[in-house]
Amino acid sequence: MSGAVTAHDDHHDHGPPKGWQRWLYSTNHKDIGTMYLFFSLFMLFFGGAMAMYIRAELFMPGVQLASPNFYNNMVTDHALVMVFGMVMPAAAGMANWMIPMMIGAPDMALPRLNNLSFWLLPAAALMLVLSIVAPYIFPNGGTPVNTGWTLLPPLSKQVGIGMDFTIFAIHLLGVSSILASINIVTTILNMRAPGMTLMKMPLFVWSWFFTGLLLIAVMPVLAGAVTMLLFDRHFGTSFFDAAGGGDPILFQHLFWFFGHPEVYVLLLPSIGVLGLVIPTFSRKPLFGYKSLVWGMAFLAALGMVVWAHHQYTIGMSLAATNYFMIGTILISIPVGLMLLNFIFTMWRGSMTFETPMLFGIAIILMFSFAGVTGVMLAVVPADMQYHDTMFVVAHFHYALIPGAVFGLYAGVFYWLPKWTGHMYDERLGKIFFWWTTISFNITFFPQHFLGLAGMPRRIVDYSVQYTDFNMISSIGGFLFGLSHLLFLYIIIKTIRGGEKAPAKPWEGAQIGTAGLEWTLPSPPPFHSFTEAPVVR
Amino acid sequence: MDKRDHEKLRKANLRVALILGAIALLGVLYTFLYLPKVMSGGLGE
Repeated sequence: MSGAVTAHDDHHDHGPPKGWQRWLYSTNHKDIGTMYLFFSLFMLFFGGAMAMYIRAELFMPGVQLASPNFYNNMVTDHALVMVFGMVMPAAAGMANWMIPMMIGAPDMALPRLNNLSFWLLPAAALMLVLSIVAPYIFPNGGTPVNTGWTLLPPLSKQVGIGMDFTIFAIHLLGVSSILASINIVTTILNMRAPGMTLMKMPLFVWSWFFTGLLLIAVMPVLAGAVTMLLFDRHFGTSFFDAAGGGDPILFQHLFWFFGHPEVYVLLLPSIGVLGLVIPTFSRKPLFGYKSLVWGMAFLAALGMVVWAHHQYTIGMSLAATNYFMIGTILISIPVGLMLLNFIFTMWRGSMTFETPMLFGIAIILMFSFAGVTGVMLAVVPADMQYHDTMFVVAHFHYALIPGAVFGLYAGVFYWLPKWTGHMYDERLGKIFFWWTTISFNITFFPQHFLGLAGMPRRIVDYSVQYTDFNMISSIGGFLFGLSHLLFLYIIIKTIRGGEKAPAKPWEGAQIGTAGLEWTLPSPPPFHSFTEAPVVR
Repeated sequence: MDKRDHEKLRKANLRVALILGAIALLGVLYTFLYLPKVMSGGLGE
């Protein structure tokens, strides 16, 4: 159903409530979007601090700063914080802010549920913090959560009370994600303005449609798996305990049934942002819009059936191994199609290189590189060598930082004028782009060589022959971390003032399948559409 | 939008949300109750 919708009947032009109540009780999609974005910014620095510790520890061989268990705890929580606390909430914040405005809806379909989805996040973050400190503050706290983000048993059955807090955190994060996804998919299906047909929706809306469906399909599996782990730990069950007839490999299957589609949950919203940024700054309609939509559908579907390529070394049957290998390599088809579509959009376009566009081009280049190492890892005999080495760390950071995080940066710079009503400082934006891109490559490129030379991942200490590349990687890491202070400064500066942004700050913003967000002033009023816009 | 249309939209939203919620719930139940039985030997054994 696509309905003509406006704000509530008895609408009168009231502004937002004042003080803390505005935020705590908010049902306004823009306010909730803002809270999501600030939450993810905070978590970026929280998870980033852990990364700085990891790189400081690996700067030299030997154990320098803290115990090996603490190191592995930081590796675990860095991943959980960045995946669940930073990237997903940032993408959800953008969805909250932009989707209703793009499709001409007055708000999300279920505004109270929207409030709950957000406020579960700080509670989950508190649980994660408790999982870190619990081993030190409880008398029998046991060892810290040193399992890595995969939480694999039997190790996860043996670690201390911190694991229980981690499981509770995942429960809350999972409920938050599922509720947010239900809300977004319902909004897209039911709240579009008259004339906004599915195939007229901006690519960002489509990307979140598939992301929402993926999350609804796979997040419950993780919730079920960690609940089974909790039962194994405390209620005498043996789901994953071989001694009781269970199987620890089952947990791996369940985790990666969630974990691999999760990669696409992180990537798809950024692909959606690219689908707006590239046409805008190329001043050309998106090349192959329909094929991009179908490509995303194919990517989401294929992403759900190739999970066991993370587990080649457990010893699967030859048929299963071949299936997962071929399925994984097939993923390069929709991904390659998307990247080529973006390149063809730029082809003979009237291009300019504002900060969002620079990030867009960097994504195409560096994400392609992750695709190349991804194919290497998909091939079973090769993966047997690379498995659990720094090569894998380099691969997924090339996939997730350009693929997901840079897409979010592109989105932030693209929409900051719309959100704040001020243009950001373009010169500082470009400095931030070059600083992050160069330092990112200094950090992660050498890790390929470390992995190929045999350095294992998740290890606090290493053999001396790996020192040089680790030092380079750590210096790059510190520079990468430092660049985010500039990011913070740019955001604060833009919020506080600057050149006034027009309703449509980018010349090419309404080319092709653009949404209705540019018809509203910058910043948009508290209630976006008081009358249903009509799309022709 | 008049009150009747608003009510119709509210119900339509609730219907879609409940269907999606039911799918999520089935996902948990499937994982928790059924998968351990069929997969306890590991895939492909």
